[in-house]
Amino acid sequence: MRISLGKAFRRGNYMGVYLILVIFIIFLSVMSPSFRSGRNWSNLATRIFPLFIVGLGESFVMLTGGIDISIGAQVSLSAAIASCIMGDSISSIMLGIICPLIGGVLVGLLNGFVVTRFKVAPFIITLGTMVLLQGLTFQIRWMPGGYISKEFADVVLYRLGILPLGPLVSLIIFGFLAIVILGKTPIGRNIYAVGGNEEAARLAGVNTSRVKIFAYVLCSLFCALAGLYEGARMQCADPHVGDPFLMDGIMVATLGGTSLFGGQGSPIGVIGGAIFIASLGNMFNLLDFNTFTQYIIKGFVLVSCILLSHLQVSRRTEISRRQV
Amino acid sequence: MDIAVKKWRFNQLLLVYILMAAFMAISGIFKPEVWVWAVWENVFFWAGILGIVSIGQTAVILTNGIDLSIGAIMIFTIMLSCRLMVGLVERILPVSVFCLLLGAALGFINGLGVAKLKVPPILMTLATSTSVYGLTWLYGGAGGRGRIPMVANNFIMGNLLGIPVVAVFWIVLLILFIFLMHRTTFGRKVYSIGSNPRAASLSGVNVDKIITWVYAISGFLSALAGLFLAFFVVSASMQWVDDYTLPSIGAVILGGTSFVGGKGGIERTIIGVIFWRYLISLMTMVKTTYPLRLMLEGAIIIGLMIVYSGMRRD
Repeated sequence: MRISLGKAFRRGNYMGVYLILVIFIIFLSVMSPSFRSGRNWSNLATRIFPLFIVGLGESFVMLTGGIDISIGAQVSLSAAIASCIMGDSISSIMLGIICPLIGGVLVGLLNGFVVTRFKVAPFIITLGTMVLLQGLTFQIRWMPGGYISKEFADVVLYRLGILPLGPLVSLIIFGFLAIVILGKTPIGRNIYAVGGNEEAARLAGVNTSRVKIFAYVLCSLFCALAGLYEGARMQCADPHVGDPFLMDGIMVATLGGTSLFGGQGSPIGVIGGAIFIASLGNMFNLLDFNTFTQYIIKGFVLVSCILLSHLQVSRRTEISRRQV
Repeated sequence: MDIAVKKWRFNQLLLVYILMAAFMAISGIFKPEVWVWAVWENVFFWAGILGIVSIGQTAVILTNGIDLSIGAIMIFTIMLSCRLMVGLVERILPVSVFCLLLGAALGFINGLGVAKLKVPPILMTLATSTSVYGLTWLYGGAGGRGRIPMVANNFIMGNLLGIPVVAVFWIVLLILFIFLMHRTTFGRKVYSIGSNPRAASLSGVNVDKIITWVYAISGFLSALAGLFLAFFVVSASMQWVDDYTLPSIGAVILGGTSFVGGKGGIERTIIGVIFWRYLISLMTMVKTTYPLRLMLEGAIIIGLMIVYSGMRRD
C-alpha cells in the first residue's frame, strides 16, 4: 500500500497558517532572547501535542459539517476519571488509561447518535453534553487533586536530554494516523464526501450517519487522550483543565484551514495551527500577560481565524470554479 | 398528511407542557412546602431576571442564531455598575444608562460579526463572551470593588401589588416585545429571516440590519438583567459564575421555540422560564449539589431536543 502524502497536502488550506507561523516565530525569536532558548523550545514542544490532538478531533467533526463544543469538558472529564482510578501498579495504570478512553468513546457515541438519529443541530446537543460532562467532572473531582502515576507520566513525557521525545513521537504517530485515515480508508473519503455535500453522499450510497458518528467518536477519543496527557503533565487532575481547550481546539482547527462548513481541511494544517496556538500561549507567558488579557486577545484571535478561513474558502471556490 | 403533521407537532408541544405540569403537581405532592407564596415570590423574582435575558435569547434563536455572551455581559455589568456607582445615589441613573448602552454595544458587535463578517453565531458570541470575561477580571480584579447605593437595593427588593419589581419589569418588557414581534414589521422580518433568510432578503428585507438589531437587543437586555442583579447583590464579587446563558437557552427550548428558526416566540418562553426557575428552587430545597444540577440541566436540554426533534421534519 502506497501512502501518498500528496492528497493530504492538496486537501487543506494550510499555506496561510504556515506563512503566519513562520513570520510569528521569526518575530518572536528576534524580539525575545528567552523565546530562542533551547529550554523554551522544549517547553513549547510539550504544549503542542494536546492542542494538536484536540484540534484534530474537532477538525474531523468539522470536516463532516458539524461542530463539537463539548471538547473542553471531555478533556477535563478524562483527566478526572484517570486521576481517580490510577495507582502505581501496572494493572491500575492500564485501567486508568483504558477507562477514560472508553468514556470518550461513549460520549462520542452519544453526541453522534443524537445528532444523526434525531437530526438536531450539533452545537445545541454538544452544548447539553458539555454541561452534563462538566457536572459529572465536578461530581468526580470537585477540587484539583487525585493521583496520576509518575511512571505513566515519565513514559508520556519522555525526554531525551532536552528533546521532549514522548510528545513529539505521539504527535507524529497521530498525525500520520489521521492522514492515513483521511486519505487511504473508505471512511476517510466518506468524511470529505459527507462534509462536501451530504445529500449527494447519501444518494451515492454512503451511510452518512455512520460516518458522522465515527467522526464524533474519534473526536471524543482524541479529547480523552488530551485529558490523559494533561493529567500526566500536571501529575493531578483539575476540573478546569479542559476549559481553555474549547476555544483553543476550535482555533487550531479553523486556523489549520478546516472549513466550518465541512469538506475541507487536512491534518497537516492542524499541526501548523497547533504550533501557532502553542507559540501564542508561550508568548503570553514570556511577556507575562495575565490570564485575563489572554482571554481578551483569544477572543479576537478566534474571530480572525474564522475570517481567515472564510477568505481561504472563498478563494478556493473561485479557483475550483475557474478550473471547471 | 399536512394536517397530521401539524397535529403531531402540536401534540409534542402539549406533551412537554403536560409533562411540566405533571412534574410540578407531583413535586408539590412530595414536597408540600413548595406551595407557599414566599417560594413563588422567590421563583418570580428570579424568573424576572432569567425572563428578561430569555426575551433576547428567544429573538436571537428565532433568527437561527444563538447568544452565548449573555452571562458574560451580565457579570460585566455587575462589576462595572458597582465600580462606577461607589455607593453614590446621584450616580445611579447615569451609570445605569451607561451600562445599558455598553451592553447594547457589545450585542451590536456580536450582530456585526454574525451579519457582516458571517462568523457562525455560536463562535462569534463565544469569542465575545471570552473577551468580556477577560475584561471583567482585568478591570474588576478578584475582590469586589465599589458598591450599589441601598436605594437601588430597596427598589429592586420591593413589591408592586405583591409581585416582585423585577417580575413587573419582565411583564412590561414581555408585553412590549410581544407587540414588537407580532404587530410590527420588525417582528415580521425577524420571523421571515428565521424561516428563510434568502427569501426574506429577496423580498427586500435588510437581513444584516435586522440581525444586528436583534443581537443588540439581546445585549441590551442582558445588561438590564445584569443591572438588576447588581442592585440585588449590592457589591460585585466574582463568585457570580455564569448562571444565565445555559438556563436562557434551556428556557427557550422548554417553551418550544425551534432551533430551525422562525418557529415559536417570546410568549412560549414565559412557560419555559417559570418552569426552569421552579426547578432550580426545588433543587435548592432538596439540597441538590452544584454538579448534580449541571448534569440535570444538560440532560434536560438533550432530552428536550430529542422530544422536539420531530417538529423539524417537514
